[in-house]
Amino acid sequence: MLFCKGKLLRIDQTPDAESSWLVAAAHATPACEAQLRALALRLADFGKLRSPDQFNSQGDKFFAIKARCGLRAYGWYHSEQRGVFMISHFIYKTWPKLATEDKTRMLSNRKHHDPNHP
Amino acid sequence: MIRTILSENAMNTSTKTWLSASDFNQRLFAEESLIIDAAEEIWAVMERKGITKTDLAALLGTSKANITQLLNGSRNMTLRTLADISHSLGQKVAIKLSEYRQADEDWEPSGHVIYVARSFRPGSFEYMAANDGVEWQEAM
Repeated sequence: MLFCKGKLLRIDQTPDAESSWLVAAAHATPACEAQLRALALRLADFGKLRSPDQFNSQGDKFFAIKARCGLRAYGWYHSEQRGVFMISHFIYKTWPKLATEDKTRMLSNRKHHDPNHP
Repeated sequence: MIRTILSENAMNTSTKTWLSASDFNQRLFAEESLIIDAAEEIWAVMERKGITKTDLAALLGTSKANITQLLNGSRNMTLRTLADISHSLGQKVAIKLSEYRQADEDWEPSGHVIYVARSFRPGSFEYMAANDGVEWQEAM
């Protein structure tokens, strides 16, 4: 199921995203969940988010959508499905630095679901 | 009471399902959306003018940390603060309240519109953000 759909983008999710959401969202307050969903819908409507605190490149052409409470989504702009931003997985964490395991997980999901991504 | 903001025939999404679950969820979403919309509009002006958070903090006589907290929503931005920020950026705030609309494809999220602009030029980013009946493609 799509995460959300806006005027410019569809925010789709990998199976890993759907399963990881259940774990990550369990830690989040309703307001925190609302913030991440609102960020995702703003991204879907405008194609990008300007706030570097809440949407930034993590290198290797993938991005993090960050709710201030610690709920995050890692994802990338799909190279073959036009107008799709694909969420690799969700996590809940309170430290700012990208974990190696999250980078590995993100790149693995992208390789599987968007193998021709440059 | 859940407002009529969700289209019966629209594509189902995780967020739509969540919004449908309760009026409480919709209210939280409306709060967070407004905070994000305001911050994003401020960021748009800052980008256009080449103003950093440090610059804005200096203009307002406050700390960069305070600006960070205001822009990411961890500190509540009062209308007075919004006016101060806008004034510091040489802008005025335009506020418009409008009814939730039944959209063809999905929930139309911008029931409220708040944008920071000096002028509303057709085709500008601000004009698109206004979402006042202008189709995205036309605005592009």
